[in-house]
Amino acid sequence: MKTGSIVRYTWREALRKRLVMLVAVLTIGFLVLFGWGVHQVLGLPGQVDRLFIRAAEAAALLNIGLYFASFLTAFLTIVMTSGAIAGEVESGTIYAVLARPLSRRAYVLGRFGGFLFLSLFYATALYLSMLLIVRPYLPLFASDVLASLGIFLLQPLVLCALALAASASFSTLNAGVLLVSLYAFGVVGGLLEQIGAGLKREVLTNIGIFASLVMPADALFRKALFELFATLGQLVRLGGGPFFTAPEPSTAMLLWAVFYAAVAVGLALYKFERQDL
Amino acid sequence: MVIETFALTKEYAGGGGCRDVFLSVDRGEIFGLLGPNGAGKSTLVKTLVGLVKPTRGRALLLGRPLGDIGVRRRLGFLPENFAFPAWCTARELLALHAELAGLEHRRGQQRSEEVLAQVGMAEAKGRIGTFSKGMRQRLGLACALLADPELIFLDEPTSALDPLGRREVRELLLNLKAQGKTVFLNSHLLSEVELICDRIAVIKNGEIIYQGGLAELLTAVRRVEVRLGAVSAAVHRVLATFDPGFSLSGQRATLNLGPEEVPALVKALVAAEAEVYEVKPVAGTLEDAFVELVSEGGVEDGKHRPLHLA
Repeated sequence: MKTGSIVRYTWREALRKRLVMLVAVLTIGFLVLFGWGVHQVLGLPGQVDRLFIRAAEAAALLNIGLYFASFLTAFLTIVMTSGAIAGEVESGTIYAVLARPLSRRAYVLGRFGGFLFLSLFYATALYLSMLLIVRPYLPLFASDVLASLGIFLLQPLVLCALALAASASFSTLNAGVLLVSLYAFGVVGGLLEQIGAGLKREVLTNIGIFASLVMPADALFRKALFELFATLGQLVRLGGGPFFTAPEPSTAMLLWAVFYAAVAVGLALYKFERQDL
Repeated sequence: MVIETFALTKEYAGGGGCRDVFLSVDRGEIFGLLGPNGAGKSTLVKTLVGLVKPTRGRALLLGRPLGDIGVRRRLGFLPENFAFPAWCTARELLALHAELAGLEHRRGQQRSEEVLAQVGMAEAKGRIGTFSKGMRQRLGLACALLADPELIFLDEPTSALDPLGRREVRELLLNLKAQGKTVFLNSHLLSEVELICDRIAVIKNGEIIYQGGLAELLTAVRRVEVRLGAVSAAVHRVLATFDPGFSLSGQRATLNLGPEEVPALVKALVAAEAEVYEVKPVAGTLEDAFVELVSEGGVEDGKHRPLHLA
């Protein structure tokens, strides 16, 4: 019940601070641009008339679009959650709140729940909007979409949990910098893994896998793409493009991501429980 | 006892904090904690309300040990910095605190209006970000009083208020006392403490160097002012026997002396052929007592450090 109060407080804070409004406006701009691009490539008469090629083109565009959607989600999650605890401590607003009959555990879980819900909501809305935009040109299967979305949402889960742990341990700024660095590390690692697979260089692949273990967000994104096109199978490989590549991250990566998030939340609880304010 | 601490200690790696604090505060009193900046006042209060974990020692608040979350339902706390989220309104803030304090919705709304009226903020509109410092402090006070607590910790509750505002807060605190509430007041505004506190403790370098009644402390500082004619060497000797630390400015001597010793002093002065124009006992102020305590320091019997008594 007390956790619920903190969740509602967190939502109100996010909405009032204009951050969410700013991101919403930017996101709408991004979607308009994406829709316009898709229409230019696929929608004008006489552009691409063969169904098969058109679907491959649409898949390629969707890959690129979702890559940026994933980036935007990560950015929003990190910016919101890095200050979840540190920000309240730095401003001093936490003192009066924690002098109430509210356990620190309930406080941390409330902040986590509040920001996680916002991140998941945003990620889902963005993901589905993009799918709707390409839908006229690309046959997608509901089961694929659901599985893919589920994996796509593991990204904000992992980032939100890690940002929470960082926010319980460092200042807002340091937590933000740490998260952005780790995210970039994961992306570069994913790139190396793909190059390694292409060149059949095992060292690169292993470095990539190691990077995915340290920061699974990028691997989760790639896994979500594979799931999205699972039924379309071969079709998508013709789409290609710079952001879509083999190898497919393993299912174990999903379990790792959930475990990773749970450990991060546990760490946040542990750190904050012992912190002097 | 509403507050009892037993060797309560909070040490920080970089120094500071408070050590071996034994305090006891009775129900229905206004208890003042005084001390110079950095003496450990806020640390002690934060330790008591559970924001800081003690290094060792223990304490009971309303009969419950530190860290008991349920007892916080019966506590009010105004932090020193009274920082509140700039993005919400006064009523939204109080609504959140009412929920956290476990007040039922209607009761929470009703209490919010009551406490806002009590601190003179009934008309408060707009976001806290637009409030002046004084308004924020009043709001902090309202927040501390919201759940109708039995024990209220106030860390510098009037630091941002003008003299009129301070007076209102003093009246408010006396009112709370009349309702049987206990107020733990952290302050370095001595005049304020002098006006409303029943008992005080003085903390210096993290240690309690005085604890007891305010009246006792004030009568402990007793001075006698003597206006004399010419001060001969013999007169000088007499003054020095009564108070070796006496001060003389022109023809006015000031001695640390109890009023009961005035007749003996006058007799001795007359015997030394002094011309005595005036002998006047002067009551000490809290400021005198505080300055004396804090500048000398030292703990003699652990609880009551006697002042320089003649």
